[in-house]
Amino acid sequence: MFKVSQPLLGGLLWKRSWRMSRPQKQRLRGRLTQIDKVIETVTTGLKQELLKTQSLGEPLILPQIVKDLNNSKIFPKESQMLPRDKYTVFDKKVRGYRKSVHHVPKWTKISQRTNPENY
Amino acid sequence: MFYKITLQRSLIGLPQKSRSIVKSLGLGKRGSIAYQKISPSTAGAILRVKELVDVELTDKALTKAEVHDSRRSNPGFIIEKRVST
Repeated sequence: MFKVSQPLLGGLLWKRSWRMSRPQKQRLRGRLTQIDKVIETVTTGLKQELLKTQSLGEPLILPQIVKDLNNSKIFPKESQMLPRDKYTVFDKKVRGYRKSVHHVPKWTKISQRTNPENY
Repeated sequence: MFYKITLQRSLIGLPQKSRSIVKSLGLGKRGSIAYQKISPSTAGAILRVKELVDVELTDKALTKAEVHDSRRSNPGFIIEKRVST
């Protein structure tokens, strides 16, 4: 049976709304906190392991990626982020230079937490 | 100490680089579990694909057979005695 819908009737229709729905935002926050949890467990595990091998008082030598992802300037936690940074990203081609994150390809499998300098 | 790594998100549409990292961690399909000894290099590899995996810390690494057994569903009966044939 033919069912009337906007795409079938032709004309311009954006299939992806310009803003995210509330459950979409909720799921996004869930993914952000899940990534924070992964970073935390990996870091604590590595620190415990390094403490076993190193002598006491010696500073821990962590890989650069571990240091970066625990640096709130480079990779802030979900709780440290502004709503603006959680739900929108910088885009030079968009009016106002911000667009909703769900317009980024593969946005659910990508981390995009900080802005370019001065934005 | 070991990392118990579970692949939570599928690799469909992801670049070859993240696919090879996931493969090097010993993971295959979504939901597969791998144990890796904690070291700076494994920590780095996990963090490269942090969006795709879930990580726990464990003292003991299970073998593939043990993981398979732990995931087996309840058969609904108990074997009391095996009869030799």
